[in-house]
Amino acid sequence: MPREVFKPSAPLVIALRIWNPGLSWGAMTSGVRDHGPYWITDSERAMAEIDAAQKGLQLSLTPALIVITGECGIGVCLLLLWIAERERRELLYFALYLIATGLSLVLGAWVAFSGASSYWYRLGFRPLNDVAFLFLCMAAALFLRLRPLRWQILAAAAVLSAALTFRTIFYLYPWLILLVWQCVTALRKSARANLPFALPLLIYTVAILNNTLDSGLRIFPASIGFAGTTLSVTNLIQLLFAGAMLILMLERLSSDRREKLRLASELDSAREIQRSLLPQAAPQIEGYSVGFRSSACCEVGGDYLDIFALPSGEQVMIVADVAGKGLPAACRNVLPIRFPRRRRGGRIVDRGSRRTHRTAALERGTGGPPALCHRDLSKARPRRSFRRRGECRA
Amino acid sequence: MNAGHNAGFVVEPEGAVRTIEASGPPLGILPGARYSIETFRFPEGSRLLFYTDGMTEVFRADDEEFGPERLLERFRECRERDCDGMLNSIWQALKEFAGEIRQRDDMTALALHRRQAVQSVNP
Repeated sequence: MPREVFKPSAPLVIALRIWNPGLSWGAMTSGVRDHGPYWITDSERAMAEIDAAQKGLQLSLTPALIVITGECGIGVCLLLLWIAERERRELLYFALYLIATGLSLVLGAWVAFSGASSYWYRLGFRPLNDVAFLFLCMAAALFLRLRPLRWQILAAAAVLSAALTFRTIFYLYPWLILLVWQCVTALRKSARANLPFALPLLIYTVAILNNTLDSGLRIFPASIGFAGTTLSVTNLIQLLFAGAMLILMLERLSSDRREKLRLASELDSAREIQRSLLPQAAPQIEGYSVGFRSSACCEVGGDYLDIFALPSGEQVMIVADVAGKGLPAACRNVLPIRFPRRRRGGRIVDRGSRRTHRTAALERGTGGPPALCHRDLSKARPRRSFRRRGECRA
Repeated sequence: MNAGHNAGFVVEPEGAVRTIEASGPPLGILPGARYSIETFRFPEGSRLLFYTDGMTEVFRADDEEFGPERLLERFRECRERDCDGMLNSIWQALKEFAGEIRQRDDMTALALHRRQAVQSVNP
């Protein structure tokens, strides 16, 4: 209400209701009710009340802005991280949780400080919190390395929460039950591994639960005074929870990065090993030109190529393709194929037990040089296919 | 011998084409599968190409496959006298065909060329 409305000593009597956010900020989520207090006053007193309310509003906005900025800031950071990495879907879910929570706080603050109807509070603030907790439950399953919650369970929680949204302040209870259940399951599975994620989650859950209880039943107060302002303990815990999750997620991403570097290094080694298995040069055969080329689509390939000479002087050339691509195919490619290879001096080296019936069959083969073999190795049961090489016959 | 693989190509000097078809399923698919070794003439000037399916399963932007027909055509048209040159030419054709599309499968090829004997001319 503008100050100009009130003129000193004017014989005006007005009915005035002022909700002092400086006192009620801590219970913002449950304290906004259109029930007064109302009283009859004159213009001087009304001006004094308005002055006090505006001062309280300014003081209350500071912690609100800190919480909102903190939550949305961390949420945006996590969202950008997810966009950059496109891995760890918990990053996305947790970012959406934080952004939805931040937006709900913006809406709640607007409702509280503008004096808008609490209808908006129920229509905007609470449904946004429902959405936020849906994402939190989905993120928690991934944080705690549990199986994702079934959509039926999530849908049931959402329906129940929506049904409670317009009636009670206990509308988050379905989500809180799910979160506690997930934490307990994860801790029973592996307390040591899951405690860093489960503990902040449980503390946060208890803080929300505490906020919905009557003041006499609360474990800790809903708000505390600090530097002339009132801080919501729940919002403070929420902010600390978001910060803890950010640190834990960064640590997990860093661990992922180290693992990727290790795997990349091993793949480099595998690529080098595979290249060394290819013939180093085409054989020089009088009257013939021989050429080969191989390029893998992944770090290592599933194709195999070999050229070697038999004791009879015949040249054997093999082109093989293992079903599949990448490392699995490369492993099947290298392991079962153990043909004798030519040494530098051109001698055939029989590798003892690696000598196969197939080699013997090839040695028996007739026909002028070079002999050619073109085959396809199935990914099915490579060990058995190794034995069956002996069944090739001329 | 071809064990369940794409048919190899033999291009004779006159341009006639013969394919070396698979004589059985891929190894490991069926227990007790038997394969036969094929012997064929390989006159002077003939060329042979064995390749893996990644060579024919190269796709371009409109999802059209390179296919064995194009591969054979390209191999037939090769005028290079050495096999490395032939394979370079084929790889270049595959690259041009695929354009910006990334290679989807491993590609391996082996080429063999029997050179024409140089006839000595007596004075």
